[in-house]
Amino acid sequence: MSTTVVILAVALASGVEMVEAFTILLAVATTKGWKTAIVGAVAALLTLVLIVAVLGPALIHGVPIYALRTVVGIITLIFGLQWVRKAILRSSGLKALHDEDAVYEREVTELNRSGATRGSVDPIGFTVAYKGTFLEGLEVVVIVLTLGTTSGHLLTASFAAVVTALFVFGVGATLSRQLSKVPENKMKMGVGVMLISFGTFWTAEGLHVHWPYSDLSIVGLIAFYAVSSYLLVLYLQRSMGQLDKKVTSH
Amino acid sequence: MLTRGESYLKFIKAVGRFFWDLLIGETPGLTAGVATLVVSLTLLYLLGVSIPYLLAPFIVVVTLFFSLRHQLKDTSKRRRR
Repeated sequence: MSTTVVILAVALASGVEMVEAFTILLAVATTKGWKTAIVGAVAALLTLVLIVAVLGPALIHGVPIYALRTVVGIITLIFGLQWVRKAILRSSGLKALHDEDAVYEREVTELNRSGATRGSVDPIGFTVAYKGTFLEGLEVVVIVLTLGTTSGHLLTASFAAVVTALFVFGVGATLSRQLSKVPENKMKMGVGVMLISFGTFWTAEGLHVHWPYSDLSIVGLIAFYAVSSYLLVLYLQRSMGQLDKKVTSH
Repeated sequence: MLTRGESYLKFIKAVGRFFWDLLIGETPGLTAGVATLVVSLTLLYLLGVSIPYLLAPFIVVVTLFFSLRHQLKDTSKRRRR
């Protein structure tokens, strides 16, 4: 059960982040050429794989599983809460949705300002492509390391992340446009709910809480947090509606 | 015009910001809520109290609620101005 949830969470997280990374890559490809964009993205992906390859086994073999789960649980919980909070704010209209078109326009303008391409791989274009893929991928690395090491499926989680990233890049390159139609916020909400469920389970277990039905409690936690998030979206939408009425009546 | 040095500096700053945002960032309230959860569960364990398993998800949802409420208050203040 938990293997499927881990793969799903990692694939969704990788999908969301790589859609964002691809927008930056497309901007680099348009202004500096595909070669610069691909070299930058491949270099970043290799760096990310290296981080997982070095840190993953070190965490598994160097830290006792009980301590690992507690520490990882706390980090996962904080990380997941930030994702859910952002997704709830966006769903309720309190925060603007992530606009891939606007990101693309901004990146193209900035890259055009940096001057003409020198050589086959433009250094500034490379840095932008590398930075975009690396930073978006770093969040996925944190999720792969936390969920992968504690569930004992590091290799599977890494594989799921890389395959999803390649899939997103492949679809984006075939369509040759930013993937602004992808329901990023819903995916982000889904990953966030899974992260806080795993985070709560491991943190509490590490602090001597006994969960009924062991690992199966994670499913219960996912359902609980999904319903709570939905109710919080409704609460914010209602409060925003009342606020709008007050502002217009004044 | 963006120089290579400025690009590298921006990259290093962005990595630093990533780790700051990961644990504290714009939402210190969330970290404080998780800290409350850890301290509460540790104290209950040390006092020998049997910890109800629903306590953890309850604290998490309350933390999220107050963080969102804080954001809502901020937004309403800005709109009224």
